[in-house]
Amino acid sequence: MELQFKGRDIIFDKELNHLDKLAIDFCAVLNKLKVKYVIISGYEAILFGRNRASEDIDMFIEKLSKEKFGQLWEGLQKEGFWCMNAEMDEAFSLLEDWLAPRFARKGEAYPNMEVKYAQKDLDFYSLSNKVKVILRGSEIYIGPLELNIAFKLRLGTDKDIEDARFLYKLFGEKLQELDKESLLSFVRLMKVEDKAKEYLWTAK
Amino acid sequence: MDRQIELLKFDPEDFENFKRKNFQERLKFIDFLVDYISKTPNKVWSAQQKKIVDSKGKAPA
Repeated sequence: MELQFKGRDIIFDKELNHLDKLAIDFCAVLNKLKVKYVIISGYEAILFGRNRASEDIDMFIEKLSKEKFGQLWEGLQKEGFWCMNAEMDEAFSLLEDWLAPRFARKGEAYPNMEVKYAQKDLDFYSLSNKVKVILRGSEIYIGPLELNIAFKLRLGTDKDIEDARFLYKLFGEKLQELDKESLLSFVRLMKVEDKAKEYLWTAK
Repeated sequence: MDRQIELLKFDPEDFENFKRKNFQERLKFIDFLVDYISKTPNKVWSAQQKKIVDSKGKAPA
């Protein structure tokens, strides 16, 4: 695996699958409009090689004015996206109610982008500590891997634990790129010490 | 048919053991995958990943 690290940025190249392409095209609209966002959860593992499919990509964005959301809506329409579960006003209301409008390519239902406002402390931490990934020259921002690993342990399904283990083994053990202190802090914060011991620290 | 089903055996404890064992196997596979990816050029592993991820396909609206 060839990954280049520049500070916190990760630069790499891969054959793009349809989730990668969706993430790149959707994020291009957000980047153009300078909307702060961060991709979180399962796609972070898929981006770096976890072999599994997913129906959606989860994302937090900063809170937007109605006018800014209108620009985003227009930009997404222009780039060939549609909102599956709402028209524009309703989609804005969903966000304001901390719910998620979902955007897919026109004529498709999945994969889709599940977009929510950042609401909780950890969401804002993700936004403030996002990691820039330059994937085949395109910029996308993902949440801190340390947070995602602990969060996945907290979610606790088999799939989530597998994602956590994948990211920990790849970035923590093989690439030595994880901030171990941050990871420990998140593990303690989310009270998943037992799971970390069982599935990460002592995993052979 | 219902009578036939009633005669079948299902041991919940045995099933839970199966689930645990299966999960442990999957975790071992994750370790194998990480090892493989870390030693393999991006172009090679990602072409294989693309086949898996894209095989899920896209659903028409």
